[in-house]
Amino acid sequence: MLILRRRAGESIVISGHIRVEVAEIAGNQVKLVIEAPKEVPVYREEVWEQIRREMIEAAAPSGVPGEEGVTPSVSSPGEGDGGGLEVAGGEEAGRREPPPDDPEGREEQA
Amino acid sequence: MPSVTFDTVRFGTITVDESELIDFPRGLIGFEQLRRFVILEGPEGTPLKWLQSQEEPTVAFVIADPRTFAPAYVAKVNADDLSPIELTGTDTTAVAVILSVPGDLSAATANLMGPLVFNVNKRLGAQVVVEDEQPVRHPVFSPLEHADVDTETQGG
Repeated sequence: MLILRRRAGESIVISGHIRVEVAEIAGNQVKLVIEAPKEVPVYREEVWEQIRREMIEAAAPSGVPGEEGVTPSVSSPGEGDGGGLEVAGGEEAGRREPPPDDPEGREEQA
Repeated sequence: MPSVTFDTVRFGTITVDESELIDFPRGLIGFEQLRRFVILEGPEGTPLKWLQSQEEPTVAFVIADPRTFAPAYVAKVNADDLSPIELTGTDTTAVAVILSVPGDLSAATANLMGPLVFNVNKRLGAQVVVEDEQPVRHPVFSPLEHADVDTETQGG
């Protein structure tokens, strides 16, 4: 583990292509600006950890009925009608640019 | 079309066309090393399906179209998070969510925070974290439906 001290406005660079800037420090909150290639997912740890734990539990479902030894037929991902999905932002849309006011600090992926 | 034969704990040995496999270029959260899955029909009369790993016999998720139990749910995702599924103009998408089924189907919950998005045409999938706040444990069957889960949930 590496521990660094940074002031507001300073940043670090990780492996040449990920940049994390301390944009603002206010009380016990820091605002980080993360610039990373789009194939590098960035999550708030508590959200990622919550999903990861749920996934591990879901990987071995125990209460689903099924006929012993019967292989179900192959199915498809779904309707393929594009429904239930709303896509925003993207590459040049300033993905990690935070909106001006966000007291909860939830803006990182905006 | 070449076929693939692999072992699963739940369904025994399965043979499918290679074209029926779905590729998750980034794996799934917590299962980043698993890339190839096949979708199988779930129990009859339910909207459920199986997402069975081709590489790990023990890993099989229960998935469902969220609109079958949460009609208002929309997966709000960032376009960058969809880069692994290589969407182009003519490709169609499908959304599914992963269910936890701890011991009893009527107690199933759905993870609406980390849905799966598929490129149906290219047979690619990705798990994404939605941009808004959603529950990771949304009850799938309302208490009234518990009595006859099999008939009440038809239509997926």
